[in-house]
Amino acid sequence: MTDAVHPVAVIAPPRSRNGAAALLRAVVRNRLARVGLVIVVALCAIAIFAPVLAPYSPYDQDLYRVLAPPSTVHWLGTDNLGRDLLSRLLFGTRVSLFVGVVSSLISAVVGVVIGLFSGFKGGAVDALIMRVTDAFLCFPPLIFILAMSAVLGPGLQNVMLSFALFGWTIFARIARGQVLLVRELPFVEAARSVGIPPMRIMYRHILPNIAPPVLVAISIGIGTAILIESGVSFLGLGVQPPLASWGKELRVGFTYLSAAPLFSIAPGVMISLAITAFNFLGDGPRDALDPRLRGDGVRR
Amino acid sequence: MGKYIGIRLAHALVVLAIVVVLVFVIARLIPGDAIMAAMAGSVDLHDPSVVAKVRHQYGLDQPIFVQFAVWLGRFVRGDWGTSIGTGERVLDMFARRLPVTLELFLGATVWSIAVGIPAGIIGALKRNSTLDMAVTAGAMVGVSVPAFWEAIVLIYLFAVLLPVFPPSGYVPLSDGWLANLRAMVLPTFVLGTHSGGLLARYVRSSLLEVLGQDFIRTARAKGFSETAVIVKHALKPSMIPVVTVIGLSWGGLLAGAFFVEVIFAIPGLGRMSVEAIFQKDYPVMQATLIVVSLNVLLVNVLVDILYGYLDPRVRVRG
Repeated sequence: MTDAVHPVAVIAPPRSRNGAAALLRAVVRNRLARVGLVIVVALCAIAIFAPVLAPYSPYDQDLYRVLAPPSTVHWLGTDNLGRDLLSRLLFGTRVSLFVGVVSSLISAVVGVVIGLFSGFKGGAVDALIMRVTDAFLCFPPLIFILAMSAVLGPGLQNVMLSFALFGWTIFARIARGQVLLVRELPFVEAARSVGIPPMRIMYRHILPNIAPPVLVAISIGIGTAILIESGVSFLGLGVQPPLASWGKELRVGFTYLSAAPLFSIAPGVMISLAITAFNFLGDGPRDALDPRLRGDGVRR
Repeated sequence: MGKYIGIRLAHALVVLAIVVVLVFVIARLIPGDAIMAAMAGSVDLHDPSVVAKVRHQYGLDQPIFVQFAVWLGRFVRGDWGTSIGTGERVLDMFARRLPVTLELFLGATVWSIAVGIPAGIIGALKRNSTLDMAVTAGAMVGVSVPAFWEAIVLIYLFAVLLPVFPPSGYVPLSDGWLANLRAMVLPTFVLGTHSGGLLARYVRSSLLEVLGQDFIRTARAKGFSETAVIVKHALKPSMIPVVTVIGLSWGGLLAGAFFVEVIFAIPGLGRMSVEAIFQKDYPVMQATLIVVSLNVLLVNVLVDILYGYLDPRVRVRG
């Protein structure tokens, strides 16, 4: 339902066998996407080199320096247990990126397989699968994932599982929409006519052609997963102590807002930066790949 | 148009049936029985007779299909059960908190439209300019910044550093509109920012698409001024998808209300639902999931019908 202007469903296939290259070109050409790419690469570097970059262990407590303001010793100050906030944020990057990437990839794999099957099969099977995705999409993702996290119990794995249980629907719709566009193209008909089995047509001929919008959606999905992980952790159902997570720091920091504003503001900056970067990275190519927005309709 | 509406309603009914089954299944996924899990602190679960009594009282000793039929029958008749946390009737809890959340929604929707539509129009008309870049980036930031962080920053700025608004709490309209307004400014702003950003992006895309079409070129070829082309010819058709976006952002508003009501201590549906989720108060949890999804579904159907009415091509594709 309401797929008439779905942000990703309108993307037309590039009709080229090298969709990934076209996508990369779109990223490089788009200013916002370039900014997004730089930030994402920087965040990945922070996540990988966190033990080298962090001045302290994220778990070392100094109860004599609780809620210390920023100083040359602790650049962002300390938290309520005297732990270095900068170190916890740097290590928190690992958690957020891990949750974002893993959740989004699981959702993408499951969703694309279902969407491919649904679009290629058509008929009653397609109608049933689409109604099931519609039913899932009736739940705002955060509310569904929050409810699932409560049911499954707190913890990182359950947040990722809850996200995947919901996230596949978005990828299924995108993949199915693209299959409907691609399956009528001459090269698919040609493949059918020479007797190539349906599974091979899906894997070899259709999948590469639907890759660009799926990759765009994965990028946006990572941002969404980071948002949801931090939201669920903020409410206390996500990452459990002593693991460092941006959402969890934000939640604890909120309690000390007057005394140590950076304690909650700094994690929020990291969350917003990461989500914005992945959205920029996904959104730029989306505009470039959308044939309706390619023309320059405004007279200058 | 009648056939189109019929198909949409039939789809919606099928979706509703799947939603209802999903909600029932989610509540049954709680390890052990949901009721038993929630009552673990209040009854002696080591006593088999007590456990059997509670299971019988809540119908948990019935086959799963019977439990589903009984639950659905009661729900449809308005018997949404009793809250395990408060002992109150769930329907009464919803009725009491609904006006508060509706006030928040109304304010957020007005705010998002007031900001999103003009920003989107400016972005499209000044495409690829610095202004467009600022609008696009601003809209993206609006969409990306988490509501809970935005709320914290605003509380720090306007309640701690510069005490203009109260940091939290709700004042009913009956206690004075000014006090009510002061308490609702920050929550409304936070809740509407995301939808405002979303709206700005869609309006920009939609107007750009319309501006690239043949009838606009024709209007220009006829010698209309650029203002006339935009105001008389381009704006109206470009607003059609905006209807869909306002519908789509409804679900986002519901999710945002969860955080906004918790952070600002507003006694609405969102805060009630979060408390229910934490207490594993599953009658309230189930009712929340049903009400939220039904809300989104109804808005989607209305948007689909309205969209079909406004754009005949959608009806034909139907």
